[in-house]
Amino acid sequence: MLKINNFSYRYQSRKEFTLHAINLELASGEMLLLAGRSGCGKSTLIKSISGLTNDGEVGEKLGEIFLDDVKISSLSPEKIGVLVGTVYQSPDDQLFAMTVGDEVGFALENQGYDEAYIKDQVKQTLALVGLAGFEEYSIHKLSGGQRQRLALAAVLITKPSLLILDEPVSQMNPQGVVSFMELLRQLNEREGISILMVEHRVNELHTYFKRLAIMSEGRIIYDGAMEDAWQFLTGKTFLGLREPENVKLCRALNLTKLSSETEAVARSIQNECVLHPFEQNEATACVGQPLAVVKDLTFIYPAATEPTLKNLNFTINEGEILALMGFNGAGKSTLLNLFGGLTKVQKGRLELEGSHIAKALGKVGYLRQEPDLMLLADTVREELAWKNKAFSEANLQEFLQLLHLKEYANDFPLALSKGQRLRVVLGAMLAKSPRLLLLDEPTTGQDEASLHSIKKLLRNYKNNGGSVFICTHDVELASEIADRVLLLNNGEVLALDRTEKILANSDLLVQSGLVGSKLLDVSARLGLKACSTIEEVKKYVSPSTVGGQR
Amino acid sequence: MKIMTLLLLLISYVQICFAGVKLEAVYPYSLDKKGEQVVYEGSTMPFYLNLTSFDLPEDEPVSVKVTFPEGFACMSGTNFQATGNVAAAKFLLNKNFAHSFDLLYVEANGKTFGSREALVEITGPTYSEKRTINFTYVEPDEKQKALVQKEKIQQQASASSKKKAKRKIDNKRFNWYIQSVTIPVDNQGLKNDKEEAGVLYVRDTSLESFRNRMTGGGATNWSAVFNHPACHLLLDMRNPQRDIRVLKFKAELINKQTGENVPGLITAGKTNSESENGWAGEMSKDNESTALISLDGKKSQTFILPIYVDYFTILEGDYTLRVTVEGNGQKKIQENPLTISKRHSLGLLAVAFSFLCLLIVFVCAYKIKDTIYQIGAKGAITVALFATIAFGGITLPTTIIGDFIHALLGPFSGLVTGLLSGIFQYLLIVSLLVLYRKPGVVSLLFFVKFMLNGVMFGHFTPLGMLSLSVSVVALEVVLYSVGFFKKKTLSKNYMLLVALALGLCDALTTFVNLEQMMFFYRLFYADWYISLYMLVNGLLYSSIGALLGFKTGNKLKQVMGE
Amino acid sequence: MSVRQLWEGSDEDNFVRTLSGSTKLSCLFLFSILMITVDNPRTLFILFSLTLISHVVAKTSIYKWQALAVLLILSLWGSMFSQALFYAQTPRTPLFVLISPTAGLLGQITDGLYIYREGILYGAVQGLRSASMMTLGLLICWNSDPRQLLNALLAWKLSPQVAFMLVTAIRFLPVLASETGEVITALQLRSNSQSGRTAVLRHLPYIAKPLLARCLRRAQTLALSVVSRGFFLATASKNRGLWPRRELFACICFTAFVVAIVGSKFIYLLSEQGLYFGFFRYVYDWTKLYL
Repeated sequence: MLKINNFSYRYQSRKEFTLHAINLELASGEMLLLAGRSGCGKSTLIKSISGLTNDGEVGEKLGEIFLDDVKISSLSPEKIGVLVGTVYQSPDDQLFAMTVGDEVGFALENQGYDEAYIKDQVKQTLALVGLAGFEEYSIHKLSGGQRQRLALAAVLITKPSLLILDEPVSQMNPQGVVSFMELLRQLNEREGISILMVEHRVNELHTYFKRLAIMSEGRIIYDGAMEDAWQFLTGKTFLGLREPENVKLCRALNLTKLSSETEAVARSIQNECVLHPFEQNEATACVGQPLAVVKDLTFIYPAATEPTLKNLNFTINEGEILALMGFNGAGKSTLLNLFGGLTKVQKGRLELEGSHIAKALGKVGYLRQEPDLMLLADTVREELAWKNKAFSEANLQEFLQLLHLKEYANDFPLALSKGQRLRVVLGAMLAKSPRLLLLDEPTTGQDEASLHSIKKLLRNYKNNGGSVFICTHDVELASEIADRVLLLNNGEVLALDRTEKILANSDLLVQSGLVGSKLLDVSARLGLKACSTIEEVKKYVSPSTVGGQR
Repeated sequence: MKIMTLLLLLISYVQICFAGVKLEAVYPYSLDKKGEQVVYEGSTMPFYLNLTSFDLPEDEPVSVKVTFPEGFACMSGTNFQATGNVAAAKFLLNKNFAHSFDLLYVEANGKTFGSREALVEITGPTYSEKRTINFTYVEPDEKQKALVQKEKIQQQASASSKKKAKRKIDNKRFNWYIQSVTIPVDNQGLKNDKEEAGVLYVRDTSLESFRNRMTGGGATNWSAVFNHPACHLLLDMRNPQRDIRVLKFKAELINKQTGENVPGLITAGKTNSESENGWAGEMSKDNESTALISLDGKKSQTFILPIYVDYFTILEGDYTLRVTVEGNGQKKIQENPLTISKRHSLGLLAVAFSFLCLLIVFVCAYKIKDTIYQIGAKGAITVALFATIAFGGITLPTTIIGDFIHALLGPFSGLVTGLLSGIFQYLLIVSLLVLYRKPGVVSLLFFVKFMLNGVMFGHFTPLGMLSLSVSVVALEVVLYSVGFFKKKTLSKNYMLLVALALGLCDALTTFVNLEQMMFFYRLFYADWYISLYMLVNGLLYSSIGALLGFKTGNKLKQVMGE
Repeated sequence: MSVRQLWEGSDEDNFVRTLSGSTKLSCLFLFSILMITVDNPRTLFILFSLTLISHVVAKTSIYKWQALAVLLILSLWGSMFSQALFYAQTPRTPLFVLISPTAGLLGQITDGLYIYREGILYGAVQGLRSASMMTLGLLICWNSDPRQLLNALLAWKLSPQVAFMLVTAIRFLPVLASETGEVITALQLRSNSQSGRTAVLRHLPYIAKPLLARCLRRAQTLALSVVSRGFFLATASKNRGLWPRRELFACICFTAFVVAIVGSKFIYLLSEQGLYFGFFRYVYDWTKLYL
């Protein structure tokens, strides 16, 4: 199907090659996960396969790419488009039309097919992706997941034999990912479409792919079975891939064999480690003074019939990270907006350090979902010191160090990489030393390395007495950094307790639209108390003395 | 030597021979001197006396006495003192050379008709003379009498309603009157049927300097402009008693509501230079066109009088034209409606320019596709998104709140809305140009914005199309002229020049747009207002916007990626 | 009802909604020519009334009538205000003196600024032109899907690439609006004063960069997507959106009518310039009376 033969590519504006002698083959009906951190050349490879490196400038190419044994250099991008359908990271950015039908029919329309045929094909394709009957829908009325399906339908209408997906699930919640991946699996099995997915969230996708290719600095450094990759990744944290928690557990327990499968991991632990299930006492969290108090908080939007938030009561303590989790539409963003002063409190109390939140807004930092839209200055330096007179040069240097942005101090923040951009915004928030930091899905689309930096920053902030109220779908992140978790369901508090307690309760997680950690299965299989973090597992299991993986 | 002595003697003889005083006495007197020497009963006619003195040994005072027949009444003037039918005056005759002259008006009311005479007597230390003037004194016919009577009654009824008690008709006041006033007429006094009566089209002098330069006329001779009549007025006078006299004619523009004299009409200047009262000179102070007319004793007489206007102060509108003819204590007034209308050559020129731009846009429209191919799909989408921002950030707010701000801030609203249409728009344009430095990109941006406005708001208007064309053509031409598309790198200094050029370009566009508004929507904007918009919204805001756009564009370049 | 709903087409079927896009655009264009041709205040008022009646026929909702009223009042008031200031005909009666001619530099420059009573009325009459065009524009806007108008433009051989750009622009209008709101929110959140937390205007100068940067990233992705889907392959449509015959005929008649109106006005204007022809006397009379 796809054959990349010693392919190298250099952009006209660059001295160095971005892709170096890439060799990759994809058989008909095969599914391949291509992983690598941001800037490794994945996007250039996709553009090369789609024949789109010529839009705007002509770079230098070496080697060749074949599609069904035809050189793609002999094909126009439009012709390649018929054979290869590409879906990009943000569905919102690749849909241009006003209605679903127009968007899906665009490719056929451009090829001059008549209207009746296009209508028929649109109908069939929409049915294929689970959007039957949505032809006349405005794109604005679709949910994020539906838009991703629409983007898929828009390329599937030409019946491509290869589907390339560039980080398609990076902005989806866990349940959305499951649903989308199931759809892809069906397309692969029923329609025989080959799938090449580029994604660094290996932890969530590894179960759907048998084969993994890893890219680094423009080279394919691994191409093989998924299960064999873990071994290869040992000591290669620089690749920025998010490994499955089971694999991380294997590494933490020093097991001989690294595996993502629960059964295999449990077996290895039983074979190699000593279990002491009843020896550990429950740790008691060190509780600080209450910082923010929410009492009988109810909120209803002007035109709504039902309140979005219903009689909420909870506190956020000093030096605490409280994770806010739940379904989309549960009222999480409304709650954060109330804390951030963007929405006025209607009923009930919301106080920070004893005063009404409206009078204490200067003490709250709020990082919203789209950090790119929060970057306002011309340089990182200006961004960090934005409207912050108390911020000295010494503070600036300290922050640049902490954020790993020292060499970018005078760069245009919006031109930095995604992870760096997030760190700049987070840094600007922290630079004002807020008493409470509000974070709305800060890790969306971030790779492992970036995630690591953020976690470090937050822990550091917390250790200095700061409190964080973080809204996230990322169970793993919550389990690693949050002291407590608040589950919100339909505007009400479903549960509020210590992180390990909440995340160990599968029922609660399901009720909140979350996918529990794989470690829960491992601990259950081992007959241990439900554990959602590696640290918890380690309380009951002594690391192996025979293994050697780190 | 002898010859010289003889010559001198001859000269002194000649001098003695020609030295003295010459008397000229005429009754009835008329300017054209074609009087028929006939005096009608009831008429007032001038007696003209002129004493020409030369080479007198010394200045000589003389007394003049004029005696008219019984029943004739002399009227005192500046020099003459009248007592019944006798008038006396004193003159000082200059020893070198001088004309000493005066007019004496005499009302003929005698009852003895036929050949009559007046006696002129001059007495002085060295000079004395008597002269008899013969004239025929006649009775007016019946028709003429009836006319005079009717006129008397009409005028008295309208002019002196308060003085009803004073029934006695003053004959002196009704011996001549204005029959009609026709305006405009040509210099032959002919009325052009194609032109509306009572409407005076005033030429638009806004382009005077430009026109003169274009025709090679050099600097504008404003004096010539102001001293050229705007039109002519036909004054039809009736003179039933066949008076012969010089009268002062005056035309004024009167505000219909307040009845006050308003600026607009002037009298041709006496000098060719600008005075402190403007180009019209001293005469412009009085806001009136004046002239002297002479009744020559005919029953009916028409005058073609030039009307001069002050092009800088005259306003369009409906006025009353008040024509006053006065002389010898008599004043006759006639008022006629007059509409002043300006021929807007500047507006027309602006509209013509817009149509030319529209034509250019139509001719070059096919090139738009080339531009899209040159900038690629990414460029096209970037342009579309910039157009969206321009529409949402400029068109939308100015449509919705622009009028409100205008209503609130009046003429200064432009300073607020200009922040969007000037600074923000040019920020977008120039930053886009920094990213995609190709001809046609600006056109594409404007076109998409225009279409967006049309599809979203239904704003498909001819004026919109013209404005779009002007902006597009002006911008593309300016950018091309300053070599923007060919320049290898865009330095700060160079961009300063570009920003200034774009500012000037926008000032032109602003001017054309306002002129179009005035032309198509019949709106008024003061010159200072147009200038303010051109300066602030056009030049200042757009230049600032362009500079900010350059800075923003350079930053955004880093975001573009490969 | 939200502001966004205000600009969206109504779902209720009515006479205007069933008209084809070509008819709507033609009528709109011809009507605006008519509006700038006519001078007679009575005719202007009649034309304006017609546009209002068309809203009644189209069963415009109360909410939209309210919006229309606000826009009309603002538009007319703007015109009245400007003309009250700049009215340059006589008679004119100053009601207020805003700037006295003797008031320093401003007085010298402006030669005095007054509110003229006659200008207010004149502004109202002349404002009827733009008000009528706006009323008709909104009628079409509220009773058409942008796609319908776009199809009309495509049927008139609008380049498909430009059409694509237009669709993209429409599609991203609400997205960019919400992103603008997001940037302003970000600025409010990053403000160090209590007033800065609620202010909007003072943050406006900073919104351009993040917004434009987002546009560039979006353009990059969308470009890749659409080129693969044949962006440059598209050719002008041949049979998109047939113009119903009845409507076409009606539009031809309307065009002829407008041409006649413009023609008579033109002939009349020529006569004022000296090009007078006796056999046009009736045209001159008619134009003077009604146009």
